[in-house]
Amino acid sequence: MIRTVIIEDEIHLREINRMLLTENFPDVEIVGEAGRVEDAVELIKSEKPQLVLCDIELENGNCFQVLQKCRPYNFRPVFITAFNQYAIKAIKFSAIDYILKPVNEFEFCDAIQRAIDSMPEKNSQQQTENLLAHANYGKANKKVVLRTADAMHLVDVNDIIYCKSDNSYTTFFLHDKKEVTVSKSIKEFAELFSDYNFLRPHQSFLVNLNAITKIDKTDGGFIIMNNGAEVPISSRRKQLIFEQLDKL
Amino acid sequence: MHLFKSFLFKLGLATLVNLLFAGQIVFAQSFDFPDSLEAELAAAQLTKHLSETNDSLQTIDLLYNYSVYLDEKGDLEGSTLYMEKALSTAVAIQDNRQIARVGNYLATNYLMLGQVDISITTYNLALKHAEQTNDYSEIAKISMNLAENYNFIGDYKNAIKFGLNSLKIKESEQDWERICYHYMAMSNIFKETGDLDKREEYILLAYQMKDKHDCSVPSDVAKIYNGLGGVAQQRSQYKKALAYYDTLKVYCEEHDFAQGINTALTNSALIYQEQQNYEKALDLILESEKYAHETPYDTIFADNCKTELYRSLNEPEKALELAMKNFRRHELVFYSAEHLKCLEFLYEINFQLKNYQDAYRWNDSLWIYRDSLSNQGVRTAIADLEMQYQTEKKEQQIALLQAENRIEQQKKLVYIAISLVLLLLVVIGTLLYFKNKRENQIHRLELRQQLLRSQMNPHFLFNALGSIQNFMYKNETKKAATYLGNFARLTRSILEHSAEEQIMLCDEIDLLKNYLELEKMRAKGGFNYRIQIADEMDTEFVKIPPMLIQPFVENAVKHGLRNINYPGELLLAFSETEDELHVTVKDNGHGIGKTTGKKNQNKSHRSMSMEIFKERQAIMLRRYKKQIQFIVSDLSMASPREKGTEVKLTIPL
Repeated sequence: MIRTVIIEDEIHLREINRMLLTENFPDVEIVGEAGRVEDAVELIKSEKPQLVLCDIELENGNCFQVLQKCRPYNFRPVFITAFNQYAIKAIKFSAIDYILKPVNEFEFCDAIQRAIDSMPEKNSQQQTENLLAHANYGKANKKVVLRTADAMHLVDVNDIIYCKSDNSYTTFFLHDKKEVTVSKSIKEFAELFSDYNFLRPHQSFLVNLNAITKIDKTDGGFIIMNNGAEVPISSRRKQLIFEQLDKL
Repeated sequence: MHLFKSFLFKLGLATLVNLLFAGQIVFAQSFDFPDSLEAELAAAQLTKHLSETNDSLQTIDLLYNYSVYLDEKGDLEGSTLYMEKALSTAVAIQDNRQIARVGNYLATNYLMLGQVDISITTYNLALKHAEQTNDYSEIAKISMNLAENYNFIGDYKNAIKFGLNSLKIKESEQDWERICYHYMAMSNIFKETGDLDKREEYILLAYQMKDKHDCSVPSDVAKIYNGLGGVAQQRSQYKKALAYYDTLKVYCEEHDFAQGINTALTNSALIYQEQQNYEKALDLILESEKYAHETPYDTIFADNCKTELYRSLNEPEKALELAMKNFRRHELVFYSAEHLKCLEFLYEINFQLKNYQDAYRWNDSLWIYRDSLSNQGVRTAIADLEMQYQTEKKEQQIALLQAENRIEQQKKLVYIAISLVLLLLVVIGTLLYFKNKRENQIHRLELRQQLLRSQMNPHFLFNALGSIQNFMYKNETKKAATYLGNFARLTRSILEHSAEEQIMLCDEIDLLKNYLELEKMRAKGGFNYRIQIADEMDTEFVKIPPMLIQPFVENAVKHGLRNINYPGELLLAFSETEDELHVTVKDNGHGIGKTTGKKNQNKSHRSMSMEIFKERQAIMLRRYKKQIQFIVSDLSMASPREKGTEVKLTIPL
């Protein structure tokens, strides 16, 4: 049985969560519920859950305050939020699952299932630390969690040379010649890295400005990266890209 | 101006000397020597006479007369030689009267020869002996001659002393013989001292006496007119001066007095020169030459005048020729001022003609000559001038330094001013920037509110809530939950994008998809929709204002596809050109013709939807200067087999 706690300040929503969990996941055992920061910390420390379903906004604080006091992270968190772009960005950076309110049953189940599936990886510690770092320091934290089917990579944003899209998959080309492919669209990363000097020269490419060696303006235009890779510039974006690059 | 003044001075001197000379002839000549005799004959006769007589007085007379004869012939040196012999004879016999008479004549000769010191000594000797004789006329005459001599060398104190002494004697002795000559001599002294009023006073005294018997000779009257002209000239009353000179000329012509005509013409010429009428001046000078006495001074003076005039008339070659001619005259050395003038001309004209080597040589000569003017007076004057020059130079330097300081200060001030202005500009710029930024912010906020308002169509909101309520009543819990989830997702994306003025087209398409899903669930019998995106279109790159297309889709669903008894179809197509996005919203419903027929029924909603669009259209136009256009057409109009409505929307990118 998967020991699970629900941290949610709204009684009705707790009930919905409980209902959806028990209806869809027979392996899940709900061992406690809390709505306040200190109660939540107490609950997690005493019950030692494997799964924590956690609302971001709590009665007297937020979930990050709870997590701060619950180290080490031997549990997998799944966040639920109504509308908090800032928190969502932090969560996405750490590749943690989340659910939006009001919950859609399908999305809910999907998120919980993925969390359960990733439990054997035992990298909850790294991911959660990264989440907190992001939540606390914002842009100053430059680590992003890339989760593949079989592994999890904690990558410094500066080590990304460029990303290449292949439909709903995105491949990262890193400085140490590693390539990491994740099952998320490049659009999501473009949004995620919007504050980190990344450029979208082409629908299928996202490049790190700091890793550009030179711009080849001939033949439609190419960006040559410091690992020698040539990234095409789409004709539509060419003018805008050149303007942006000239500013550097 | 200074140059001209020195001319005037020299002219005055020339007239003075000439007229003095003329006057003296009348004074000194008491013995008629036959004109017809040739010089040799006269000399032989003199020798014969001298050998025949032992009478010293007679000897003196013979020598005196012969000397005067030589003088009249222009042999000034010979005249002086014989007069010296006469004087030594007179001194030997200690005859006061003879010493006075001979001494007076000799002194005048010395003066003419430029031997001023000896001239003065001789006059003093003559005066001393004259005073022994009680011949007041002679005393007054010599005294005045001495005064004139002092005047000549610039010793005005003695000049005035002896001049006044002469006049005192004349007046107290009631001796009116040639009193006009004396008054004019006195006026001449004041002319040199620069006392214009005194000068005029004595001229007027002479003028009053001129017509009285024995008071004047024609040369004196000529002098009076000349003097009146001079005074007028000095007072810049040029017309008056010219009139006096003209009178002088006419008077002299009447009395056949060439020297006077010459003076009248020369002085008139100088006035014209001053008025820069050089042609007229030159004409007059050339005319004056016809009346010239042919004395070396007159010739030299006239030539210098002409040189100056030719230069002024821009004929430097002619001027140079004249200057050279003048320079070759050996008499030039006697007249230092004219000599100096001549050298200056030679230097300047050569320089002007770009004969730099010659100019250099003449300049050298000029400086040597200037240095050689060893006369103490000149030295003193030079020293004074030097001092004045040095003082002026110092003053100039001080002025220059002050000016520099001033300029420095001004520069500093300018720098400070510029800095202040720049600072002010920066401050103003900053203020404007912040003001502008704030205004922009306010504007943006306003716009955002407007956008939000226009995006969140309240009808849609409440209709959606009503649909959920409907599912709940019908106990369709799952449907209600799904519908609610979709509705929440749509609301979330609207909220998310409300912060942005423009969103990616792909996001807008997602949003429309979401909306269509909701409407599909709600519609009776449902409908199918297709979304066509042109190949090669970069929907992430194209950005448009959020929820801009939704009102047209809403119209198609709510009015086009409502109450139809066949499967509804809706097509949403996107394509782009260089700078425009084309959106087509097409349905197979009633068509706009029929829809508009039912217009009244749905008026409130239709107008609401369109009003929102119009509002946004206006905002877009104001903010981006971009006009969003749309064309609505009923498909049955084009082809009877088709039906429905098509909206073609053009959004500038």
